Amino acid sequence: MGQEAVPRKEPHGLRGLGDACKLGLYVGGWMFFCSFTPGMGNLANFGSWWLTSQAFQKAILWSTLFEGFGIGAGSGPLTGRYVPPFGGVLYFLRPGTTKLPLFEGAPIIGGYRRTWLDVLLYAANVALVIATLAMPTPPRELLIAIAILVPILGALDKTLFLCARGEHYWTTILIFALASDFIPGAKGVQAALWFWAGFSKLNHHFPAVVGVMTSNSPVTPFAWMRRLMYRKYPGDLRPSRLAVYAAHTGTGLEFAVPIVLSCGRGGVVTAVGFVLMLVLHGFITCNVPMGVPLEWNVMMVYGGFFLFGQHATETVAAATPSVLAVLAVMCVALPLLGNFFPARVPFLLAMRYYAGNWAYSVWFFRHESHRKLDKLTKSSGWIYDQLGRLYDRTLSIAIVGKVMAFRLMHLHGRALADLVPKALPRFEEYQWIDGEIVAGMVLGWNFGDGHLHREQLLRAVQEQCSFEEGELRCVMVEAQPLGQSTLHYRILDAKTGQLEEGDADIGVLRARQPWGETA
Amino acid sequence: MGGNGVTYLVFSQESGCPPLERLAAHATRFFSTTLELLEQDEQSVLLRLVCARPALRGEFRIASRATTKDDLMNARDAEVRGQAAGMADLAARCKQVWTIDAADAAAPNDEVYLTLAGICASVALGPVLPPDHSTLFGVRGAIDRRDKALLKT
Repeated sequence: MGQEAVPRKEPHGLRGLGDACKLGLYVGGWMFFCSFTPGMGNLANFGSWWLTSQAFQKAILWSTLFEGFGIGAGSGPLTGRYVPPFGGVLYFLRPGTTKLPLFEGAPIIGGYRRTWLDVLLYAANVALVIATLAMPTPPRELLIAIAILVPILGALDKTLFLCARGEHYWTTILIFALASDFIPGAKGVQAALWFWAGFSKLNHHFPAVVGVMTSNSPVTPFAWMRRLMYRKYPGDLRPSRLAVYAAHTGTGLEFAVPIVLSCGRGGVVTAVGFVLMLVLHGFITCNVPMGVPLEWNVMMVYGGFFLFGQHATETVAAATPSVLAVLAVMCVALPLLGNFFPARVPFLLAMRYYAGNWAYSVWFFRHESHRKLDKLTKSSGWIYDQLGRLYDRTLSIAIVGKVMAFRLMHLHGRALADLVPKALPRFEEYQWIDGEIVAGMVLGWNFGDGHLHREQLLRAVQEQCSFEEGELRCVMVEAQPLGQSTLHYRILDAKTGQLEEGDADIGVLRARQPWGETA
Repeated sequence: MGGNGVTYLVFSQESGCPPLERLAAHATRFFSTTLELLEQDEQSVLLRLVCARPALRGEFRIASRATTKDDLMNARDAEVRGQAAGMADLAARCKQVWTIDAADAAAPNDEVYLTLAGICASVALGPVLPPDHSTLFGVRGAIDRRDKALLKT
């Protein structure tokens, strides 16, 4: 047996250390910017300032900057990034990188490649946010400027609006800009995040998510415990009854937290709400789920304490008409639309977090055709080249294989058993790469949103790389709309376009194993 | 206004009477200073400040009242004068001001005032307006000014 066959071990400790460093940077950065306000930012008297308005505003602003740099959600191994461990700013400040314009084909702003205008506006936004953070209290003029600039960036590149977490941080910044008493509006946003996260799980997808998450969790150390998540391991990997109950409990918690906290006035009810909130976010964080931004859980818990504890008596009803209008659009209309018409609204804007009901894609490159991606201006290499700097080939294949397994273990991924044979004439000639990894490599950011790697990205890639017919095939699957029981799919060739479309029946997928057999 | 007519103003996000316990705790922990309560009523405290290093001592009355339009106008002017960007916005978010006056006509040095102003700002989480309205500053600003004043003497 050659040396090649002996893989080095994947250093799990390093990943934990990376997550700890990221959380440390996140909290440390916030404290640093808080120190620009008199009396704040010092760990020694943390208790006297962490629940002030300035500290909360700076947490929101710092979070949008952190995410906008690409060092938050879309960073590290959990999103398929190794060398470099993040994209974000390495792409957004680099002319020529690929972007997804809102108005595709429009003069000046509609191209697929980042221009100096894009770079300058992104840099201006970063400068504005830093300037605002460095003030004793965020000035309204600067907040207005940020609130205007972020959607403009989103029009130039949809990735940037999602990356800045438009549904949470930008909406809250807009409320800061509109009302000096921002508490009622910010409460509305935070309650909506919990509520719609629960609402989006009213389907059959979530038990599979809980099963995969729990059976891969570092806090589930025993194999027998992990096996309890499946009906009969290893022959039947559909979610067990325990996984279904756990999923229902999680969904119930996501509904209960905003309802209980909104009813609380600082007494026992609020305390119960906090316990529920800590159980919910503590459970998520402990499991270190793939692709989950742990720092966002920190922000949610902090926001909970500030908005529903420190300001327990204020209600959303006290919001000004302009803030109520923002809430109606961003926290009611968009999420509702996103649940009924998921193809129209990215899952982040619809607040459909980690429900397992995601749009996704798989990209298949024939032989070495992926080398054509080298024509793109990008800061991350081909996934195997990144992994090759850390691991041997065998382990690299195993790591990428985990992404395939992750997809197939979820309910939506079980459609691939039908779709891959339709897409590929000879499976053995192709390399299977999840669209998430492609988006991360090409756009500089990915966060489980299949809308970042659907037809528009394929057009952008094809325009620059000119794949021949059959060299790049994609399977793209949309999320399940509320009230329907199918997943819409498309099969595409990069050169010739759409080859087929149709719908996969959820009932059929529920009876199917990850490897395609029906139970 | 105190015995010598010198009044430092600290804008406060805290409501009500200055919280002596927290002031004393911050003084000990972050400023190596002791605050001793001499007298207290609903809206003010009379206290003695003793700092070992640098050696400083003085008696002051800290009173709390609602922020007025004049306070905010003074803060705006001081911000412009001292180029203390953003400090007046922070003052505008403070519903109370704490006035720091000498307890008697024997005026303590500026260094003593600045020490107490820094302690107050660390609890009030608002800016300090000095008597000459030349600028607005925070905790670090108060201590920097104190140290500079000590160097001069």
